[in-house]
Amino acid sequence: MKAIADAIGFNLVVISPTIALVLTALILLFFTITIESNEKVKQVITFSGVVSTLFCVFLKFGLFLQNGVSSYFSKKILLDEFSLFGNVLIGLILLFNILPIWDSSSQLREKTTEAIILTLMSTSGFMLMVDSENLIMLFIGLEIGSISLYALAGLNRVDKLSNEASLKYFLLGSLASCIFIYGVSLVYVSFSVLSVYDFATGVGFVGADSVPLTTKLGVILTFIGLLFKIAAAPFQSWAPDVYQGSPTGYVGYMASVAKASAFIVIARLCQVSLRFMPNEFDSFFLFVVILSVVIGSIFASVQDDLKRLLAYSGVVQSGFILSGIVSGINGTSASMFYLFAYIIQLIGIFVIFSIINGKMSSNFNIQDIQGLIINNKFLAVTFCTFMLGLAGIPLTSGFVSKFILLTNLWAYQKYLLVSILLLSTVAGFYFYLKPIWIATIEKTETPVENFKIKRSEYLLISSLATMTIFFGLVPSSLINISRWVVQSYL
Amino acid sequence: MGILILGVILIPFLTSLFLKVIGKFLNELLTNFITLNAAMLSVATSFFLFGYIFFDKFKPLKFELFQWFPNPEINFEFYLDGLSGVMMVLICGLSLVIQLFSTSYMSKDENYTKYFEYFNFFVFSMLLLVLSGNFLVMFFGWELVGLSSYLLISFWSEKKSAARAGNKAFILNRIGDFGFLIGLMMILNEFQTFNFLRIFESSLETIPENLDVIIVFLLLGAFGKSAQFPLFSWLPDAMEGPTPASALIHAATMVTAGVFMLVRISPILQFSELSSLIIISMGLLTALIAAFAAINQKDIKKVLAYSTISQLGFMFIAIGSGAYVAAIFHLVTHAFFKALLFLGAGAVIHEMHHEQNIYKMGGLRKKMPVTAAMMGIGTLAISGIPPLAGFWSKDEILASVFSRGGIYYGFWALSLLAAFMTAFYMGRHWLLIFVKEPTSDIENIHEAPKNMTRPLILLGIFSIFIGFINTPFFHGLEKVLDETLKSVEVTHLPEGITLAILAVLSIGAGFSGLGLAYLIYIFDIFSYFKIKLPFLSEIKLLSKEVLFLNKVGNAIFVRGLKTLSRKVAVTVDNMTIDGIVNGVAKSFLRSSQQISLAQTGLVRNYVVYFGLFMLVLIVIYLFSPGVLI
Repeated sequence: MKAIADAIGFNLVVISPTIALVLTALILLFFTITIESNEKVKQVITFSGVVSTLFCVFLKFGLFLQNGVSSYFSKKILLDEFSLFGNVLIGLILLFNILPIWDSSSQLREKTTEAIILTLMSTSGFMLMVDSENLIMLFIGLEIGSISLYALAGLNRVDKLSNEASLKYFLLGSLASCIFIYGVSLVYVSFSVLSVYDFATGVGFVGADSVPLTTKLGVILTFIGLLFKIAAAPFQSWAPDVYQGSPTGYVGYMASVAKASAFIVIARLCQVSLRFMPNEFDSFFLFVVILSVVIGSIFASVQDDLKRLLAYSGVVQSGFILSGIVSGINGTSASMFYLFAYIIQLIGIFVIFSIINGKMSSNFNIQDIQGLIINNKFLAVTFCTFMLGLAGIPLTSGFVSKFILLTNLWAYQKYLLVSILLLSTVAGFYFYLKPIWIATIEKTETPVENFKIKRSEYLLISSLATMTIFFGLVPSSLINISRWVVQSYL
Repeated sequence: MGILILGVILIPFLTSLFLKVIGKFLNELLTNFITLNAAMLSVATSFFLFGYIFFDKFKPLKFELFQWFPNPEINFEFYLDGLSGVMMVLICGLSLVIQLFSTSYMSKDENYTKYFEYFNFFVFSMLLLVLSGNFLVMFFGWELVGLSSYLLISFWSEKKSAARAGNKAFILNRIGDFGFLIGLMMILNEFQTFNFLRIFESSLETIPENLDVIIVFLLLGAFGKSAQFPLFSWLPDAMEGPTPASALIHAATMVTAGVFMLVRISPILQFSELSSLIIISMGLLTALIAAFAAINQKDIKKVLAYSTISQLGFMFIAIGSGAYVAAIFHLVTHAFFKALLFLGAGAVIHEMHHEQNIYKMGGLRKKMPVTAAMMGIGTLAISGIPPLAGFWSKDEILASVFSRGGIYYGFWALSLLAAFMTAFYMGRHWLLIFVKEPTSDIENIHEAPKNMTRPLILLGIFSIFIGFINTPFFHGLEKVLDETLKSVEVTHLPEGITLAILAVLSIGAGFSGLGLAYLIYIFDIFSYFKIKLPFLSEIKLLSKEVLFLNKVGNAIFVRGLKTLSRKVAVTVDNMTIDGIVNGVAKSFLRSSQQISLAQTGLVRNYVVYFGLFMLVLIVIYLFSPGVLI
C-alpha cells in the first residue's frame, strides 16, 4: 500500500487546506440541518476552520522546505512558490472577508449559514485551482470555486438585481468555462499533454517552431477562459453588472478571490509552460492589456454607481497586473506585489461599502456617500486611503506597485505600453478622485448619517488601511516575498 | 546632527496632524498659538542647521531613515547642502511670516483650523521635496506639494470656480508628473540608483547616451510644476485659493520647485546642450507671453500670477544659460518681493471686501499708506530698480545670458524686453490701485490690521536688502552653493565696463517701463496728445485672453478629452445595450413581455461580444508576425 502511495505521490499535507475547508463546510452543513445550534457555535466553527486552513498552508511551507518544487498525486497537484503564494493570498482573502460575509448572511431571511458554506467551498475550489498541475484539475478547481460564486451573487432572493446578476454571472461564466475546457482539449488532442510542466518539456523537446497551430490556439482559448475570470477587456462586460447586482457584503470576496487565483494560474502558465516559446503571444496579450486599460478608464469615468466604478477600475488594474505577468520574470514579480496590494485595497473598499450601503443591498449610487466625512471620520479617512492607493498616490502601496511594475516594463523596453499605462493613471486620478471629492470636500446639505461600526470591523478596516500605508512606506518586505515567488525561474 | 533634518521636516507634519486630530476643539486663538509656535520652532531649527553647515564650510549633511527598496538599493534619505539649506531657510521663514499674516486674513473663516492644517501639510511636503537625498523622496515631496496645493486652491470649495481651478491645476500637474516619472524610470535603468551624489559621480565618468531624453522628460515635470509654457494656464486659475496661500505656494515656494530640481540636477544637466536650449527658449517664451498677458489683466491677483510665471521664465533663462547661482538668487529675491506683493494684494482685497478688480480701486494710497508703500517697494524691486533686491538678481541673469555670446545676444535682447514689460505692467498695477483717481466709493476703506501690515513691513525690508547677499562685489550666495555646484561649469558674469553698461541698460529698462506706465495710466498721454494707436484694442484683447492660449488648450485638452471619453463611453454603452443587436433584442422584447430588455438584451449581447472578441483575438494572434507568415 505504501509503495503505491509513494508511486502516485500520495500526500495529504499538500491538499490539507482544501481538506480543512471542505471539512469545515461539511460540519457547518451538519449543524445546520440536524442540531439547532445558535449563531455563536457556528461562528466558532467557521473561524476555527479558517484558522486551521491557514495553519495547513503553514504546514505546506514545511513540506516545500523539505521537498522543494514537487508534484503529487501522479502529476495532479503541484507544490511550488506560486501555489504557496496563492494559498497564502486566498487564505488571507477568506480571513479578511469572513466578517462581512458572516454579517451579510446573518441578515438573510432564512438565517442560514448557506453563504458561509458556499464561501468555504469556493475557497477550497480556488485553493485547488492554484495548486493544480494538471489542466483538468485546474478546471475542476475553477468550477468548484466559480459555481459557489454564482450562487453567492444571487443569494438575496428578494432583490431582482441580485437574481439577474447571478444569472448573468452563471451564463457568461459557463461560456467562459466552455471556452477554457475547449482550449484544454485542443491542447490535449494536438500535443498529448495536460501537465503544465510537461507542456514546457514538450515544447523544449520539439522546439517552439514545431508546436502545432492547434495547440497554440488551444493555449489562446485557455487564456481567454482565464481572462474572463480576471475581468480583462474585452471580456469585462459581466463584472460591472455582477458587482452592482450582488449583495455588497459578498462582492469583496467575489471580486478578489477569482482574480487572485486566476492571476496566479496565468502567471504560472506564462512563466512555466510557455517559457520555451517566449514572445509567442505578445501581440495577443498587448491587445488585451491596452484594451483593458483604455476601456476600463473610459467607462469608469462616466459611472455613477460606485460598485460599477470599482468594477471598471478593476478592469484597468487587471490590465496593469497582466502587463507585468506577460512581460517576463521581473514583471511577474512586480505583478505579484501589485496583486497583493490591489487585493488588500479592494477588500478594504468593499468592507467599507458594505457598512455604508448595507450588507444585502445592490445599487450604490455615488451620491450615497455625500459628506461622509462629517459624521463618519473613520470611514471617510480609510476610504480615501484605499482610493488613493488604487489611484497610485505616493506613500501608499498602490504607488509602489505601479512604480515597480512600470520600471520593470521600461527595462523590458516596452516604451509604448508604459506610456499608455502612465496615461491611464493620469485618467485614473479623474475617476478615483471623484468619490473622494464627494465624500470629503464637496459641501452638502444632507450628509449621510452616522453608521454603526462594530469593533471587529474597526479592527479589520484599520488593519487593511495600515497595510496599504505600510507597504507604501516600507515595501521591501513584500518586495522580497514577491521576488521569492519567482526566484526559481530566474 | 543628521536627525535634525528629520526634525525640520516633521515639525510642520506633526503640527498638521495635531490640528487635524483635535481641530474640533480649537478656537482661533489656540490654533494661532499652536501653529505660530511650531513655525517659530521650525525657523529656529532650520537656522540652527543652516548655521551648522555654514561653519562646516557647507559640507553636506546626510541622513538615512530606512531602506525603501532592496536591490537596486533605494533608501529613504535626506541631504542638506547649501542649495537645500537656502531653500529650507526660505520656506520656514516665509511660512512663519505668511502664517502671521493669515491669522488675520483668514479670521472668521469657518474652516480656520483646516486652513492651517493644510498650510502646515504643504510646508512639510515642500521641505520633504527640497531636503530629499534622492529622486524617490523628491518625487514623494513633488506629489505631496501637488496634493496640498490642490487642497488649498479648492479651499473654498463651495465656489464652483475654485473647485474647477483645483482640478485643472491637479490635472495639468499630472501631465508634467507623467514626464517626470518616465524620466525617473530611465534614470533608474541607466544608473541603477536614485541617489543624487552617486548619479552625479557616475555621470562624471561616463555620460549616458540617452541623457538628452532623460532630461527632456524631467523637464516636462519641471515645466508642469513651475508653470512654464505650455503647461502654465493652471497658475492664474489657482488664484481662487486664499491669498496668503497663493503667496506661499503659487509665488514663493512650490512653483519654484522646478527651478530647484533643475539646479539640483545641474551636474548632469550641464552635459545636455539640447535641453539647455529647450530650457532657455521655453523660459524666454514664457517670460514674454506671461508679461504680455499681465499687461491687460484686471484682477489684482491675476496680474501677479502672470508676473510670477514671467519671473519663473527668467529663472529658466538663467538655468538655460548655465547661470545656476543667478537662478537660485532670483528665486530667493523673487520669493520675498512676490510674497510681499501677494500679501499686499491680500491686504487690499481684505479691506476692499473681496473686490479684486483693479479698475474699481484707485486712490488707496491715502487710505492704506503702509500697504501702498510696501507694495511700492515690491513693485520697484521686481522692476529692477537699484538697490532693491530684484535689480541684483535680474541684472545677474541678464549679464550671464549676455556673457555666453553668439545666439545668446538675441536671448539677452528679448530678456531685456521682458524686463521692460515687467516694469511696465507692475507700474500699471501699482498706479491703478494706489494712485489713479478712485472710480468707486472708497470712503470706508481703512488700513489693514497690524497683523497684516507687520509681515508686509518685514518683507519690505527684506525686499530692499536681500539683494546684497550676492552682488558683483560680494559673492555670498555663490560661496553657499559652491559645494553643490563644484563639478558644474557655471556661467560667470562679464567683467568691468561690460557689466556696468549692461547694468545701466537694465536699469534703463526698469525706469522706462515704470515711466511709460505712469505716462499711459496716470498722465493719460494718449488722450492728452490725441494719439491713436492702430490695433490697440486688438492688442488689448490678445493680452487679456493670453493670446487665446488658454482657450485653445482648454478646448483641446480639458473639454475635448472629457467629451471624447464621454462620447465613446456612451456610444459603446449604447452599442452594447441596444446597438447592433438592437433589432434582435427589440423583436424579442415585443414577442415576450415578461422578460425585461436589460436582461435578455444584455446577456445575449454580452455573449455575442464575447464570441466576436474571441475571434478578434484569435485573428490578431494569427496575424502577428511569425505565426502564419
